[in-house]
Amino acid sequence: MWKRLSFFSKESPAEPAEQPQPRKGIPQKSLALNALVQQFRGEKKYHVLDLGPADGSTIEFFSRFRCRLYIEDLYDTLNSFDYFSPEDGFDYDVVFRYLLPFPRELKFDFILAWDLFNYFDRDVLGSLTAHLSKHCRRGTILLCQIATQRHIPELPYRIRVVDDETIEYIPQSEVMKEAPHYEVGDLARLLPGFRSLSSFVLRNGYREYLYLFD
Amino acid sequence: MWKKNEPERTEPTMQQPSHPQPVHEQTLIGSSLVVKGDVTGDEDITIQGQVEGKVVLKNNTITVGQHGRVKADLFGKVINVEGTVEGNLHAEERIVVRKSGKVKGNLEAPRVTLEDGAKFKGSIEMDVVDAGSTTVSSGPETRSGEQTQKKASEPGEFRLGSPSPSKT
Repeated sequence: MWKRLSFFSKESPAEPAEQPQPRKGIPQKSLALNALVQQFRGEKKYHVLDLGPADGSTIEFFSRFRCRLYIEDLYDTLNSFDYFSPEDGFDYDVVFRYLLPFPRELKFDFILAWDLFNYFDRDVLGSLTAHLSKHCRRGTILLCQIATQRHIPELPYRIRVVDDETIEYIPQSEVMKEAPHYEVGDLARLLPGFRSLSSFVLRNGYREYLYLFD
Repeated sequence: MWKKNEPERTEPTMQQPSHPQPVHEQTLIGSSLVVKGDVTGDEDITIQGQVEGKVVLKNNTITVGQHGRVKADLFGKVINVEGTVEGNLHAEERIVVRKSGKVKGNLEAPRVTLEDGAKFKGSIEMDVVDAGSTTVSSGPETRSGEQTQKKASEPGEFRLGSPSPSKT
């Protein structure tokens, strides 16, 4: 008997909505992105993990830097992998090892989680960050945006990097759901090994955080 | 009588090229074909069928058409993806993933273009050394030949560990 895995918080749709039509992006200043970009220096080569969907503009932006950009589109990946056999004894740790099978020696310098954490239950988020932490080195910086408003879209925004300090939020759904309201204390527990560096309140009902792995 | 006033007819003439054009060989793998194994050679290829293995056409253009389904590493001069590819792509000049394209794999090329709507999971090497640095563009190709500049930011502009909540 096959069973559906539940990666997402209960209000989330089980299946992705119909093929999203092109939507206009909503520009927003991102001081966290600006601060992160300042960390790219000289000739060092960086490894950047973007957990959001591929976007040509974002890829073009990072092409300015000497880096390898990894794009995982994690929300879509998890939606595409939602059945398993209970006999296999899968748990979330195993699933993330399977879905994000990075080489053991790969350590990311920057991780862009954008607004994705708002779509995970605590246990799933904890497993995800535990898996990611195995691919962090001392000094890895994580960028995430946590909703401070009561409701969020039922699907994560497609985030497009425009320039050093501007991103665009491209909505993928107009249906709203309740936000998980992760507080600073929650995040501290759910991001073991990371400590908060900075946070910035955004006008769009999100607070963006930079975390440092050490 | 002799229709003297009738305007002269001019027969349409075929414009002949002043120089003979080089013959550009191109192969099509049709949508009903399944190829298992390596494909090598010296001509452009368009794949509308299924290919599993490896495609090595380093001096040529590889096009995975909208109906093409490829599970292979691709080595070409130019690689265009309109269909589905699972494998690593290495191009001497550029890789273009069209809006209908889906790629799961790693991309290495001096230029990478990802059109809006294209699906991609994998990694992109931004440090390919060729005639220039890696150039990546979104949407239709608009930056031909442009070289990217690596940013050399001054150290110390952002101090780690200095929380600075602010409103934007």
